[in-house]
Amino acid sequence: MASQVSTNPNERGPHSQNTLMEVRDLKVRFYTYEGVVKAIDGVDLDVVEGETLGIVGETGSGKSVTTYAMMNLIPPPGRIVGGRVIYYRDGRSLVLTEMNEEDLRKLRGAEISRIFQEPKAALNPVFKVGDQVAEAILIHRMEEMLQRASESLSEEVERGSGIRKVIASWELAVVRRALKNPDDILLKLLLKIPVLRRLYWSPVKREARREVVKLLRLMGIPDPERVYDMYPHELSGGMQQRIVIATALSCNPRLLIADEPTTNLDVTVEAQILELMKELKRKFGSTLVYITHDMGVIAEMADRVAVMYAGTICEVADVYTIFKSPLHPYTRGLLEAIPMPGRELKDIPGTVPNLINPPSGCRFHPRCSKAMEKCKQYKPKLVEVEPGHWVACFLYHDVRVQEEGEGV
Amino acid sequence: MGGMRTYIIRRLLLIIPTLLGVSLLIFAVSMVFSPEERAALYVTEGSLKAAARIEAIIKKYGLDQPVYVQYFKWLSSVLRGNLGWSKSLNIPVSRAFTELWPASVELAIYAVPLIVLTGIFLGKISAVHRDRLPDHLSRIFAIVGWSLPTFWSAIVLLAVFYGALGIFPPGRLGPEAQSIVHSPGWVEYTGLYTIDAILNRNLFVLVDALRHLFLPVLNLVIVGNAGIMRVMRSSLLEELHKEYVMAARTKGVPEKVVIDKHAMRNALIPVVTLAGIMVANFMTGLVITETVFEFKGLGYWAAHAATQLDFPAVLAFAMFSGIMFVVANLVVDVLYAYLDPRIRLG
Amino acid sequence: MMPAERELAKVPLRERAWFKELMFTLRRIRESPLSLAGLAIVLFFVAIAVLAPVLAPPRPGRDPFVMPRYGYLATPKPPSKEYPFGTAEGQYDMFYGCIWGTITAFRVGLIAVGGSLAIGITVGAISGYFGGLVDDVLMRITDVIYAFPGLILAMAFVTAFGVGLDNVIKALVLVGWPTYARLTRAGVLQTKQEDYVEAARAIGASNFRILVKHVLPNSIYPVVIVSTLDMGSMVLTAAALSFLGLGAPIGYADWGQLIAMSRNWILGEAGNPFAYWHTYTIPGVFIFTFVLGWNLLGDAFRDILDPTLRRR
Repeated sequence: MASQVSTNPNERGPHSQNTLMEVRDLKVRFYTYEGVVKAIDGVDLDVVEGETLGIVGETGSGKSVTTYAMMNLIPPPGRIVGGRVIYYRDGRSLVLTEMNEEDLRKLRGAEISRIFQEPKAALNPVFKVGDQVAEAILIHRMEEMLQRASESLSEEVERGSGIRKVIASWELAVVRRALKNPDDILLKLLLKIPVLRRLYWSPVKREARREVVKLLRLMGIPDPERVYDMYPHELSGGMQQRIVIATALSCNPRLLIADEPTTNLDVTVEAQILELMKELKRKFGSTLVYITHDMGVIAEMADRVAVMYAGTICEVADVYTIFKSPLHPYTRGLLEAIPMPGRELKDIPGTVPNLINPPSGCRFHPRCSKAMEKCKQYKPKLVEVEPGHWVACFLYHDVRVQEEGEGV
Repeated sequence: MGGMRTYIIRRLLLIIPTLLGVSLLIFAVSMVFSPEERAALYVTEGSLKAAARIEAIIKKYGLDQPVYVQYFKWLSSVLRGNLGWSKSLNIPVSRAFTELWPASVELAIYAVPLIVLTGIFLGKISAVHRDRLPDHLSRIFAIVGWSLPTFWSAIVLLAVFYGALGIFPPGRLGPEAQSIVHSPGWVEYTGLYTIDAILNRNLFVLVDALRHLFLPVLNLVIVGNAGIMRVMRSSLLEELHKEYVMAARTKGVPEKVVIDKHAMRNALIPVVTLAGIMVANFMTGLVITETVFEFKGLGYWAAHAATQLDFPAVLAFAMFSGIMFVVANLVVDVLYAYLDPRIRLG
Repeated sequence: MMPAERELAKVPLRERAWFKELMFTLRRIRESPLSLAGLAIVLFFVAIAVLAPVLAPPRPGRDPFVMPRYGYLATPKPPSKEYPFGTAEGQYDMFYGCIWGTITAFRVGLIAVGGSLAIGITVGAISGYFGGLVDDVLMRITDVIYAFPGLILAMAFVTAFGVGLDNVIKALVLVGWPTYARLTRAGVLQTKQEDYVEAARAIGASNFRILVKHVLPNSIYPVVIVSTLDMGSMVLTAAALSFLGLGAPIGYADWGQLIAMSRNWILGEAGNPFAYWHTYTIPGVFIFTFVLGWNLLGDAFRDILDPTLRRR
């Protein structure tokens, strides 16, 4: 590339520095009755393995949509219209935006999973919470469950007696057959017959249940055996969120996306959940992408921070730098808007723009006290102005985003 | 499931006042008539002799006594099975019921499941393929069914399939099958010709009965599934927008399972609550369909009786409909509690 | 108006809630092709009803709703230049019958819906506003009436009080008011919590005044809208009753009655099963289209009202 200043985070290349995921020039649009919403407009983001990446921004900034793109699950009427999302595993790269549904589904819930903002809404009200956690296990860790079932059933057959022993031996036969050849035709036939298919599902579900109870205990849920059989509405907000977290962690994901998991919880509960998440991240060794609008939580949880505004990334830096020396006017505004005793409350004038007709050039310029003429005409590119510190602002560099058909 | 049991008992107790109210309304309407006319309600053999007995009946049942006394006596008489005399058929009302209801039940056995299944199916594909061709077609089908006069669609079906094509005749059975059914060798197990034909191992009667059932059932289904289809559609659309559906997808659940297991389970709940209204609509459809197709069941009798001003018959049928509605709602409430854990535990 | 109330009422027309709702509704109707079709159909029938005396001039000195007959033969005659829709059994002019049948349909529908609305809104308002025992009793009554299918209760009513269109209309009102009572009650329950009701009460306005001037206007909008949907079903039920012989008498210009007269002729004759298609097809199309138009319109209204479908 001809430019001297690096314009891409981690531009050194995909294999360096344990990059887990790269988002390159992502563009997402929503086709609604009121018009086309240009929700995400050229986002570049890297996720480093093992880190906690915080994504901050107001409602409507595109934080959630960006993370949905990370599993290629943009809900209709949305669509990814440009850019790529690349996921790295064992040195190989998977371009998520080009994969088919079948393969993507194998990743979702298993290697990339998600924690939701409203736990009550994220849980299906008519199913037991334990079953909902088990669902992911039964989809992604089936072989493991079959293996365990085989072992416990063998034991039962040896030491058991009476009718239980008979059924156990049938179940064992089915399980062994499934382990040997998952595509066995007879097996598939058996699974279609209402009562007989229990020979397959009962043992497997029993193992899944054991695993879920273990998981719930890890979440700090008391009496997990009983909680397994409860329904979402019977649990408090904090408990519900622990269930959601348990579901997300059930298959040892490499990347965990947490979408404002504590926003809807009481402050005391929030503190517990944050502690829990930190501990779990340590134990499971996953990478965490944490979305929030609360700078306090960012300070608590994040290693690096990306600041988003109206579908673009304004600034990326490690957490200390963001707090000590924020560069982008929006980041500064966010920090000044944190209520603190002894200081006058300042808010950022104006409101979040309508993304059907977004502002021209830099999307923040209408609300920016330092806006210049060129901010109205051109979009600033996200550029590394110090090592590890990227900013998209003409105050600090002169690199423009190239529109199609435009020269450098 | 202890919560379930108390819930069911509670619901059962609650319908008693409603049933009483139903009987009160019927009673109130019948009070329009003079004591002489009302005495006719209690005459269980029809003849000129009855005229002389009327004075005796008025005395016996206290038809000139205060209203509440009359209501009590009437109610106890009804509960003992004495519903009066149907002059249009010249038999007691209760006998008319027992003789005619198998026909209606037979229609119901085939029509109701079909109505429910087609309604749910059409509603589901409509919601899943929203704003595309299957959706438009289903919605057109639904709104056409909703606007069609039941009696007109019945007539058109009859004109085309019987008048022109001759394949599906009106009535319950053709003349040959009739004679078989009335012959001494035939055992009437249920009164439903299709079931009885199977139990009597008679293929001819079975086919004949099915042929006669086809058009009335078709008519009932065309007119009846619009309501279910619409509720299913809007209900499923609402569920598909909910967060838990998205959550299931992020777990890697296949889309088909997301819809069939997660969304449908929740979406069916409002559909189930429709059952009471569906029963009411079905009874209405029954009256008209049985009349046009000369299918001699309860609906046919009620319509026939109305034109002949056979009040006890119409009254009995109205009460029957009311009770059916209340019972259907009870079943719905129980089913609702089973489907939605929030109801039975909350 | 009391001086304090005059303050409350200073809100200009444009800002009033129901006015904004109405404008929103009209705009949404304009945007949806199906509801426009419904509107077109309804207007078409209105035109027919208004122009009836011109399209099918009644005979002087005779009841215009009795169809003219041109002979006494039973066999209907197919459409011709003389009789555009042919004749029904007994040589009644079907064109006349269908045109004037439109007025009959409107008459039955409007009176039935109007009557149900009047009773329903009154009962619902009282029930919702005053609550307590009155509410319980009134709602039990609606529950009981609800338990009966409309047609069947109407049948019982007509059997008791006599056959004829007037009794049919009365029966429809009896069967129809509970729905509106329930809707009104729900709306009133919501509105009576609002601040301006508290304010009016604090000023000392009487209950009646509050109910009529403040609560009702803001809660009946959905009720009135739903009633348009019912026009279709009212006319359907009335037609069914006429078909069964419980409504309009033979010879009366009523669509249901016309179809009843066609029952003997649906099988046509040997060799030509559709010889008398006009006797049942034409009035049937009239009924179907009429009801369809109102249903499309009512559906559109309901979609517009539904808060969950409003957001995008």
